[in-house]
Amino acid sequence: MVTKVSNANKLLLKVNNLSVSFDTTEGSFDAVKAVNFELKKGETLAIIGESGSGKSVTASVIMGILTCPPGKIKSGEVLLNDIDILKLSDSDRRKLMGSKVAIIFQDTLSHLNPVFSVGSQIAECFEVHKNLSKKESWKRAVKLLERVRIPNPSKRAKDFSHQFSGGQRQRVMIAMALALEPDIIIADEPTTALDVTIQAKILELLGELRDERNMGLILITHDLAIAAEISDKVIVLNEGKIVEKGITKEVFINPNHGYTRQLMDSIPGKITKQKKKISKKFSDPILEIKNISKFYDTIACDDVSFNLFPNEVLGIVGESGSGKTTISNLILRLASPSNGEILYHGKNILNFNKKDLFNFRRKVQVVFQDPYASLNPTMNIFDIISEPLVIHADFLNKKLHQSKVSDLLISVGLHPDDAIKFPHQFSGGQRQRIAIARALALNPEIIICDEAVSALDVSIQAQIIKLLLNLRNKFSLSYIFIAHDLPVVRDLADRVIVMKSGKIIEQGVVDDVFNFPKEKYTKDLLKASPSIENLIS
Amino acid sequence: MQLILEKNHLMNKFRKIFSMFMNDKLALISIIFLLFMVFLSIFGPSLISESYTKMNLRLRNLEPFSFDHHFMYFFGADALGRSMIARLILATQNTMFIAGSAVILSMTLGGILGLISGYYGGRTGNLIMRLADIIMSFPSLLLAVIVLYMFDPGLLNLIIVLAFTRMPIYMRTARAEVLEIRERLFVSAAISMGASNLRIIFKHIAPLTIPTLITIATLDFAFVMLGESALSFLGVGIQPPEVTWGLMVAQGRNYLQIAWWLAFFPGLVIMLVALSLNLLSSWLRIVLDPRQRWRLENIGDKSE
Repeated sequence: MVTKVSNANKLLLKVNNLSVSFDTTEGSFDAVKAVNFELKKGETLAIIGESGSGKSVTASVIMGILTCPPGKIKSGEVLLNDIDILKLSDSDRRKLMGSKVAIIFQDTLSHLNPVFSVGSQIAECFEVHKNLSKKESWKRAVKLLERVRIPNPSKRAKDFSHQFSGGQRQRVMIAMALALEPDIIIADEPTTALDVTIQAKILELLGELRDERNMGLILITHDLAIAAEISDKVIVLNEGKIVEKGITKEVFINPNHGYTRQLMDSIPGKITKQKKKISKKFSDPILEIKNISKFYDTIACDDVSFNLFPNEVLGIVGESGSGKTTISNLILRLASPSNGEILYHGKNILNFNKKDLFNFRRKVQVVFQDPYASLNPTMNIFDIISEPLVIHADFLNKKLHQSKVSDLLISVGLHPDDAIKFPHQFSGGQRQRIAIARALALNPEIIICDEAVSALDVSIQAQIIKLLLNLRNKFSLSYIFIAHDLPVVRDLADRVIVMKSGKIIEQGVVDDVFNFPKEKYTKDLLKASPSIENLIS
Repeated sequence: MQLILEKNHLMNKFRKIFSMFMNDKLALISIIFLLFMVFLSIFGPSLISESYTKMNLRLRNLEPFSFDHHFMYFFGADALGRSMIARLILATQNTMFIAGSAVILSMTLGGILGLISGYYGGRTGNLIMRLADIIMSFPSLLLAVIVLYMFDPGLLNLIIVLAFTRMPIYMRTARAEVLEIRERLFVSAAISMGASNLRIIFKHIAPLTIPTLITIATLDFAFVMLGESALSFLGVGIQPPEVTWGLMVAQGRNYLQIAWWLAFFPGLVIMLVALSLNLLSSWLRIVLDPRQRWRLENIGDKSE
């Protein structure tokens, strides 16, 4: 996909020595430190970095939407066609920027106005900026929607944002960004919230439009694989500093800086597994799922059967809406199936009485996707981790709770002193560790990880995966690991189940499924998942 | 050893709260004023002894701010020549007790009913909400008058009636909050740990609703004081010679053109109490939220 347009390589954007700081109660904090880069026509620049690396701050400076204060541009210049936009007055800048630079955000739902049809929102750009008539504007809006491949555009233009799927909303955002024919499009994590197959299509569309209109594209992402797929040049940001920049291929094949190498190593799909051969295949399964179905208004999960064996990691992959989370909720008894049985050590958990269910809950724990929402904000860490111990009061003497919590914190790589803090004082990765510590408190047999690492940066993701693997060996746990991210599952799971629209499409040992997929859907999934190997090989 | 540790722990907590007050001067002034009011309501009556019933007809409607008489007459005197200061102090006890109990009662009952209704939903939830609708659909004053007319217009009945008519607002607010909090992931996490319903309601859901309820309660405090005065004015509330601020305002209304201070001073006290409660509640809201608490703690760390 990395096709370079042989065009007069006109310089579009040049950022010189840009430094930005934020004033906080603890003094001034440098978010961006002396950053330099440039962008030419028809070129894609990927800005890679983890959360807090300053990549979004850089983008908002270029867009002129940095909120000052608390933000403060300490030095540097941003030259757009040789004009320093930082020296312009607000109104001049707005005039210039609106037509030259456009941005696409990650969270499409909150960036589209819910009470206007998408067509009228796009048409508004033409009415305001180009003084076109209503009719003409609408016509152009429809044309744009057609260009970004919204099916049946003249009709869909009248729909509202919530009536589109995530991928389609992103297409609408792209259409809107294209409206004024900008020279530069900044895409801030444009596909992070999307499924892999849709992600691939959006990236393809962006690449196509870039070539067609000879625009510059700045792609901000934490995902190295996406950068590898689409960009010509990359810069890698760490703590506000550029640690590495260059031609994408060269950087990925031969990273110079330690941080880049560390990032490359954290990419899932690479960890050499100390995989135990599953000789336990012949032992009795802990959990047998037999023909369960769950119907809401639609079919959430349909005739699903699988087994979970002791000390096994079972991956469940599929796109959103494939019924993965429904299965986790059914096993956790947060919802009841419409049909079928779930056997735990041969006993049907659906027939459990209160006491049996209570004992079952002790053995099956869960780690949710969103570590920001799964911890009660009003409780401190000690209360959170010791809660399962308090609920299952016969498990451990109350006097020993303190030391147990300390042990748990240590085993997930946190400090015992963290116990008196509150969840908001931790980063996403640390919170996920807390959630894992809580899940471990009762020495469970099974931990269900529902997208447990999806919200985390790659290097943190790699740490958590390593932690989960170590804990499995230490406490002989079984995991059901639900994810939409295939490489992560490849790293962690022994066996994998591929789901689509509530049905199991394919299941088997991880290496078999990933190397020799039988079903077309699995092949599509694997192909859509961006990877660096494609670039290198 | 354990005891000493616990004592230290308590001391630390106390110091922390104190420093959080020091970082919000308005809240500090409010709490001092409110504590003074509480002090007056407990010890006030014994301090002023008999002077509140002592009539001095020569001093009828005496103007305030004159030094010619005893300092008890500094705020003037009422239509029967009784000292305003003495009457205000005496009224403190009744008012604070009635309004305080009524607000606490309605907040607790309404809050719990709202929590239950929101958490369980279904038939129980509907039943509770329809109860709230019924209470709200009656003109609350009329309901109170009827109830107090039928029963004895004593202190306890007055409190119960006031609490009862103010309950729906807590029920509805609590329910609305619960409906949202119930769907959060940490509640699912608690269920999958095997937590009982009671534990989920009181440990996970209630702490997040309390700041809202307390804010409403402080606003309601002034409302209840006025509601009480309306009932007393109609003769079904507090009976003379007992007195409340609200009743003083109501009685002073007749003399508004010739002796404004009769209604003004009790009105002023009501306003100050309500204002202090409001300031205190905004302080409390920050203290109760661990994510906001640093706003009050951090500054303290620096000054230390």
